[in-house]
Order: sequence, then structure tokens, then C-alpha cells
Amino acid sequence: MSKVYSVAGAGIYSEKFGDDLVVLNLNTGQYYGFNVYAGLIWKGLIDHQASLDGLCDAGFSREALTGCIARLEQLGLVCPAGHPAKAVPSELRDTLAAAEPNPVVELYDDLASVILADPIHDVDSQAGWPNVNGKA
Amino acid sequence: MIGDTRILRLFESILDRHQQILRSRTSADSGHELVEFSLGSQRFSCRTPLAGYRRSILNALVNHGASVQQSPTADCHIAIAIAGEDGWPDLPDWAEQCMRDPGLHLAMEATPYRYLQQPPGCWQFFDQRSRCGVQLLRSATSLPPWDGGAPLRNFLHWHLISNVCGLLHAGTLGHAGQGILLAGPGGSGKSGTVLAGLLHGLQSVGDDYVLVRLDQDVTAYPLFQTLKQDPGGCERLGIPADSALRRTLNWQGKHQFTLADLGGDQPVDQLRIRALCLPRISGTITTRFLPVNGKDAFLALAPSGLAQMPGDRGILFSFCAAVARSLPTYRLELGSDPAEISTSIRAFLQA
Repeated sequence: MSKVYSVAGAGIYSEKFGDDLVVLNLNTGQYYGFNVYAGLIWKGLIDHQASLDGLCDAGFSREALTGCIARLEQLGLVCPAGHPAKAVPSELRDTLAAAEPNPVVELYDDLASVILADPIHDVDSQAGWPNVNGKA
Repeated sequence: MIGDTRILRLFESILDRHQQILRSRTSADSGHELVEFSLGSQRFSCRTPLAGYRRSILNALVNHGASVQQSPTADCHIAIAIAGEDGWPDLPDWAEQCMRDPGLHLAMEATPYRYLQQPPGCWQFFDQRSRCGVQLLRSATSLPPWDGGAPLRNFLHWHLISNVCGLLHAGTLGHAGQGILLAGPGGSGKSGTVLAGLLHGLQSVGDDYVLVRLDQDVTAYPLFQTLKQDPGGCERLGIPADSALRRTLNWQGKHQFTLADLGGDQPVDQLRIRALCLPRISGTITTRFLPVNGKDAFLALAPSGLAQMPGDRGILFSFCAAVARSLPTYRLELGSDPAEISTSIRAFLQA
């Protein structure tokens, strides 16, 4: 049976900006900028709950898809799920046709040190919250 | 999941104590100062035993019908309290330890409770059901030094945040009621740009945190009237060393003053926001507005507010995204002359 995925727990939020996607993981304080192709993978996999094989059949590059999913799993954003796979909607196929198969997920961790800081011991006593020791 | 249910019971006991006081209004709160203020349609009440804290709140908040008359109709009740006094509980060591775990904020999202622990001994608790908040202090001197610039900020965030309204960490400038939001990390030029604009005839509803409502339009409202600028920034903006604006240095060594200190009609009641701009000190002669994509604008707007205001971060993330999607977004390449920057912004808003 082809694999399906879901977000890896609470605290993971995504927002779309045109063809780009931003995902925030409050568990790690990290957020990620997805390019068009990576955003389409997220949309197919998470929003539309399509399976890996279903996405390949819809035109996604298997190599790009498996590489991207492995990275998303490694980042703790998605995990294998047990729900039934859904069909890939036609509009996703149409958008995919115009996209380069080069998924990129950029990591931003400037927020992480503050979100994960111990507010008593890690805070710079001169600069104050939310400046973390050594980063004020 | 909250692994240690003692922390939930502690939150309940603190917030129940507040409910008790609100119900009985007995001698336990006699001698406390009360201040009420409105933000939009929402009325807030804050009761404090700290001498002078009422004045501190009124100095920092933009005056929206502030009064000291007790009204039973406040939408959000906040109590300032000293741990171990007037029937308020002490905060046990295990609770402080528990709240140091950053994962607790996320776990608390599944409950009605929001909290923040700040040094040297200040804890803020909020119950979304009763709309009651408690700022519990280890002692009367345990307020963090930065509290004076934006008191009660997290309670305002917890009470007001929704899909269409919230506190944003952004500066504002405007002309004739139309305005821009200025977003970016510290050092990007937000506060300096706001002050430059104010000194050259532009309007503002704030340079740090503003209340933003999103419906057919994006509208920004003032919250705090505090402005800060370091001595170097004041020099660059041509504020003389003997100016009244430079009399006070805050805990960061910055000059601290208010929008009202600048005279005129500042702050204005609201600005209809026309663009989200990311200021950058460019060193060029003229100021330029260069289109930037919504994702980049969002990444300039959201992180600092998310970092500074724990609790309901998912909603704030979505709200910031909705604002970024609703507005044209620009990189604002700042020229080197404050008057020219202001003229350019005015011309942008008039176009």
C-alpha cells in the first residue's frame, strides 16, 4: 500500500503566499520557507491527503518527492499516517505542470532560541526579554 | 498533554482567587487602585496594590476613555498581586521549574490557560473562559524593567487575538488617515523611521506594538504611546541634546518619551493601512519603495511578535499571514535624510 502522511503533531502551522509556503513548528521554534515545488508537495501530501504513489501518478518526480518527504520527516514536520489516500485534485496537476521539480525547504531558526529559551536563566539581564544571552 | 497536573491546579487556584475577589469585592482589595480603559469596543479593568502602577499604565497606554470608575461590564479583568499577600498563593519552586520548560506553552494551548514567566519574579496568567488575568509578583519590586513601556501587553494579546484582530509588532506612519505598517527585526530602522516621520509632520498610531483589525480594510489603532530612541538615533534625527524628549533614559539607555510629547494630534485614532513595508537602512540618497513578495513580508512581520508574545502563537501566525496577504508589500529602502524619507512616504500615500 502506498504511503500517506500527516503533520507530525500539534503546533505545526502552515500559511500560503502565492506559490510559496511558510511552515512554523512551535515544538522546535523553527520555521521553513518552501519554494513552489516543495509547497505543491505539502499541498498534495498534507492538505489533499494524497499518497506518495498518487502524487507520482499525478506527475510529481518520484526522486524529488521522496527526497523532500525524507527531509520533512527529518525536520519533524510530517510522519507516516494511516488514513486512506485521497485523489489528487486536477488543479494541483495543472499547477504542477508549470513547476520545476526542485523542492527547496529553507530553515529559519532565528526564532527558535527565543521560543525555546528558559525565561529566567537564558535571558540577557541587560537587554531583557526576549533577548537571549549572547544574542542581544 | 500536561504531564504534571499540579501546574493546572495552580493556575486554577490563582485565577479562582481573582474570581473570588471580583465576586465579593471585599476588604481584600480595599486600598487597591483601579484603572479602566477601552481599546475599540473592549473594556479592560486592572486592579493593583502597587503605588504608582495605575499612573504607569495610564502613562504608557494611549488614553481610550481611561477612568478609575469601577464598571461591572469590563470585558477583561486583570489583577496585579503580590504572592503570599491578600490571600494570593505563593508560587512554589516546582512551578517555576515547570514553567521554564518551553514545551509547556504549547501544551497549555489545549487548555484555557495562557502564561508568561519573566525575571526577576513576575508571572502572568490568563483564563480564556473568564477573560481574567493575574500578574503575580514575587514582591512589589519584581516588575521587569521593560514593563513600563508596554504594561499588560500580553493580557491585551491574549484577550484580543482572533482571526481578524490582534497585536502586531510593527511601527506605523501615516498621512491624512492613510498609513503604512513598518515591520522587521530590531535594528532594521522601524523606530527611527517612525520618529523621523513624526518629526516631519506624519501621523502614527505607534512605533512598536499596534492593534490591527482586518475586515474589508486593514486598520491600525494605537495601544501604547511610548517611543524609544538611542542617543545616536536622536543625534541622526537632529533632536538637540537639551530637548525635552531626551530628558529620560530608560533601562536600556534609550531616551523614552511619548507620542503626546511630540505635540500635535499624535497619536491619531486610527490609520487605514495601505501597505506593509520592510524598512532597510540603504545609505542611498533617496527613499525607494521596491515590491517584495508576501512571504518575505510575512517573515519580517511575524517572528518578533511570535517570540515576544507566548500563547496563541498559532492564531497570531495565521493573523500575521492574513495581514501580509491583504496588503501590497514593499522593501522600503531608506534614504539618509529624515525629511526626504518623510516626504517620500507622504508622496507614496498620496499616490
